[in-house]
Amino acid sequence: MNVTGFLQALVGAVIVMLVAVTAAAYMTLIERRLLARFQVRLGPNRVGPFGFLQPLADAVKLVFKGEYTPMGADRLVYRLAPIISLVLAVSGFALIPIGTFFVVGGHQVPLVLANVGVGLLILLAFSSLGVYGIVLGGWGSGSKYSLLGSLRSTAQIISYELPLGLALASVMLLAGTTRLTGIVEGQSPIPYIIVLPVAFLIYLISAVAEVNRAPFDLPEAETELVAGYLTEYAGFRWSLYFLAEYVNMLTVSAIATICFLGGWKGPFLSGPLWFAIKMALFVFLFIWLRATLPRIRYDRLMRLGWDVLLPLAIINLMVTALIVGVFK
Amino acid sequence: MTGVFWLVAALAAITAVGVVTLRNPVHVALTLVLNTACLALLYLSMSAEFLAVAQLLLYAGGIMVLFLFILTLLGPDLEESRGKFLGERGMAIGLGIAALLIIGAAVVQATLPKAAPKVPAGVEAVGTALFSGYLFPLEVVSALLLAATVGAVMLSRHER
Repeated sequence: MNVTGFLQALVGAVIVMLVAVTAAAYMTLIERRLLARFQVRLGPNRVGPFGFLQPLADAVKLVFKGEYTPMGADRLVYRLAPIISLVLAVSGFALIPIGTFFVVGGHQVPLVLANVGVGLLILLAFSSLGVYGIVLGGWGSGSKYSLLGSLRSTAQIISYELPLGLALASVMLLAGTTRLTGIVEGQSPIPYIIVLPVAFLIYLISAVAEVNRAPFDLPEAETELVAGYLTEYAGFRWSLYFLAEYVNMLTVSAIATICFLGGWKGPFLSGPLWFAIKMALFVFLFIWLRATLPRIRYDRLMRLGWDVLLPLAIINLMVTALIVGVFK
Repeated sequence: MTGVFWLVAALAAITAVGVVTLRNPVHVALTLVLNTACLALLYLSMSAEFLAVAQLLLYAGGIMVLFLFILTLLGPDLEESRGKFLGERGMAIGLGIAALLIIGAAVVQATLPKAAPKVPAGVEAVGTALFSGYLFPLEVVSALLLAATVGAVMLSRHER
C-alpha cells in the first residue's frame, strides 16, 4: 500500500471512529429525551439548549469517576473485556457504505472505508465476536451476578444469531453478492423490505435480541441480576460497555438500512442524508420498543428463538432459494 | 507481504504455545481464539477472503464461544486440572512429536505454489469449487456431521 493510500485510510478510520462514538453519545441524549416524552416527563434539559451538552457532561463525569477492581477479579480479563466490546463494535462501522462518493479537489473519495467482497459476512462475524466482551466481563469480574448475566447473554446471542444470519442469507441470495454496495445496487427499483418481508421481521426481532435491548435486555436485567455483566464495572470502563451497546445499535440499524431499505437510495435528498434518515427510523424504533414493551421471560425468549424464529428463517431461506433458482 | 506472514505466523505460534502451557482454562480458550484469528489473518494474506471470514465467524464466533460458555458455567473447579498420571504427559509428548514429524514431512514433500492467486477467492469461487469438484466429500462430511448431531442428542436424552 502506498503512503497516500495509507494516510487516506488513516484519516478515514479516525473520522469513522469519531462519528460512531459521537453518534452513540448523542443517542443516549435522544433516548433519554424520548423516553421522558413517552412517560410524560421532561428529561435532561438543563445542560445547554435542549440539554444538548448533556452527553459531554456525562462523559466528563464518567471519566473522573472512581474505579476499582473487585477482589475476585481476573485483572487482565476484567480490564480487557470492555475494550474488546468497543473495538469490535466500532470496527464494524468501517464497512458500512453511506453513499457512493464525493469529490474533493478533483479526487473521488468513496463514502465507505472498506468496500470488501465479503462485507456482510464480516459484519456478521464482528457481531458474533462481540459476545466475547460480555462473556469475559462477566467471568473476569469474579462475581455471581456478573457470571449469571454473561451466561444468559451468551445463550441469548447464540440463539438469536442463527435466525439473524439466515435472514441476511436470503438477502445475499437475492442480491447474488455479499458486497454491501452490491446489495444496495440490487434493490434500486424495489427495496428488499417489500420482496422479503418475513426476512425483515426475523432480522428486526433477532437484531433487538442481538444488541441486548428491551424487551430482550435480560443479560442486564437490573431488577433481578443487578445489571448482569455490568455489575462490577464503574466509571470509564462501564461507559466503554455502554458506548459499545449504542454503537452496536447503530451498526444493526445500518445493516437493516442497507439490506432492506435500499441504503442511500432515495429521491431529492443526497445519499448520506437518506441513509441517516433511514437509520434514525430504526434508532427511534429501538427506543419506542424500550418505552413500550416489558422484559420477556427467559424461557419465553429461548422458545421464541428456537421454536419460532429459527424454523421460520429456514423456511424463508428455502423459499427464497427456490424462487431465485426458478427465476434466474 | 512476507513481513505480514512472519509476524502473524510468529503470533500464531506464540498463542499456540499459550494454549498448551497456560493453566487457567479460560485463558487457554482465549489464546485459542487469538490463534484462530491469526489463522484468519494468514488466509487473508493469501487473498482467501471468504475462508478468513468463515474462520472468524465459525471458530472464533461460534465454536469458541460455546467452549467459553461451558468453561465459565463449570466455574473455577476446572482450574489447575493437569494430567494426574506421569504416563499421560509422556504419551502426549510422544504423540506431539509424531504429529510434528508427519506434518513436517508433508510440508517438505509438498510442492506449493509460490505466490498467492491474483484474484481474491470470494464466496463465488469457494462455492463453485465446493459444489462441483468437491461435491462428494462435502456430502460425506455433512452426513457425518448430521450423524454426530443426532448421536449427541440421543446421548444427552439417554442420561436423563
